[in-house]
Amino acid sequence: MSADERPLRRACDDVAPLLPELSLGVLGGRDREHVLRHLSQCAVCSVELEQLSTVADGVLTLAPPCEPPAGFELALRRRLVAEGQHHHSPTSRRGTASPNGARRVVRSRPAMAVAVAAAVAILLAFGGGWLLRTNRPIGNREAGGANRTASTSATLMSGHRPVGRLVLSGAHPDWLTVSVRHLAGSPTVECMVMTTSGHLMTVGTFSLAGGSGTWSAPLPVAPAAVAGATLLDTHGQVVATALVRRPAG
Amino acid sequence: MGSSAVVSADTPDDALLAGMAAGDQSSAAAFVARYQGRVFGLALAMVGDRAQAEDVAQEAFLRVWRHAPVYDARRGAVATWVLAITRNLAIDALRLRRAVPTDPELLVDLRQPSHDWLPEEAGISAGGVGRLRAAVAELPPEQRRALLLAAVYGWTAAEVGRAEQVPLGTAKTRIRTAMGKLRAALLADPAAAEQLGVPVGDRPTRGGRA
Repeated sequence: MSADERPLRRACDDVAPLLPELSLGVLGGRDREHVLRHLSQCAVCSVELEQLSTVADGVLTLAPPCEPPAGFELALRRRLVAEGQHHHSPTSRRGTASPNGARRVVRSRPAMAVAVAAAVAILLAFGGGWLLRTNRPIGNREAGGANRTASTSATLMSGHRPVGRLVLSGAHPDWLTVSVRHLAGSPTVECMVMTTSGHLMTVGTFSLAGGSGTWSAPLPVAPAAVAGATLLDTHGQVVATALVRRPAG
Repeated sequence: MGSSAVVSADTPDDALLAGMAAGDQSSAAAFVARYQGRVFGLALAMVGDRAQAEDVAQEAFLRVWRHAPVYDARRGAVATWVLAITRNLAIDALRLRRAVPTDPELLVDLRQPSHDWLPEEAGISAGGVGRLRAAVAELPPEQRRALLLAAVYGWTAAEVGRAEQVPLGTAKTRIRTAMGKLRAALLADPAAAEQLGVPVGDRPTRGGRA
């Protein structure tokens, strides 16, 4: 072990006891921030967290199966048919890029997820977000639906530089539209949203042309539940972040 | 609505999701048939009320349907994705009604799985789950409760400590020890670990940079 590695080794010893709680999604506060920072530079702890996260996911599979009441499938089928008429219609997508990523529980990619959590948490902690605006409805134009609702927008920042705009559409279906300009360094970016309850969800992975692009994708949560969003490069590094801040009342 | 795809009991989960992403109702029906027992079972174990569990399960499938287009098979098993959605919805439902979780011991079936359901049908490896189930059953009761309250209900160590009337440090130790034992049990059984998707094999050197 080189002299350079010794401080990191000591950091591993500090962080290791906290990894189980992080893998379960129940670690908060400064401990969480501390672990997230360490994970961004430690492959060993990242692997350990991945193992623990898989164990945590596996625990959910131990619940005893139970068949739902009669009529469950029929009721669900009706709702799915109704949903399908909105979500899978040919007019329900637009944009220059299509999502090819995943909505997945955050724990599946702990290092990336924690980086996002850290970025958004820091924004929340320091109030460094960018003001949301309530716009005229745009959701229908995108979704082709009948119900008009307000949208919400926030500025995507890379450091102190504005690099794009985020729009949350409150129409059915719920949509996220992102426009990015001059975001150097990565041919694709992954977009994740953080909910007001602290959950992180991947919206999709999108291509950029010369650092610019615009795309739309279904939101995994209601727009009102989105606290912020982050773009990550192919290495999982946070390259831009937006905080959705809603006016009081 | 997209055109109907040919689905069967052997159709992989991710293929069903791809069909759902294309708006195929037969894929959706097959997916629901495959997972409804596990989704409703987890919801019921968590909320303890059949009507509410039904609501949670319905919403879980709706979310799967909505998000099928952005599911990425590289990121983990469909089963854990679906169950995580169910878990989060059940947690939200419990919070809304400020309900006290059911006995965490009831959350998991610690008996050996019977043959009246086959986990593989729900995309879950029987071997890996069996090993994990055995490892959970071997935990001391206080560690098992702490683990389940955190893993299933999302309780923090502080919340576990208050519920169990033990200091925070004790709650943290119980969670940490339990998770460590489960991880060790799976790593000691590479086949089970692989079936559950636990990364095994060559590991980076401690202190090595990511």
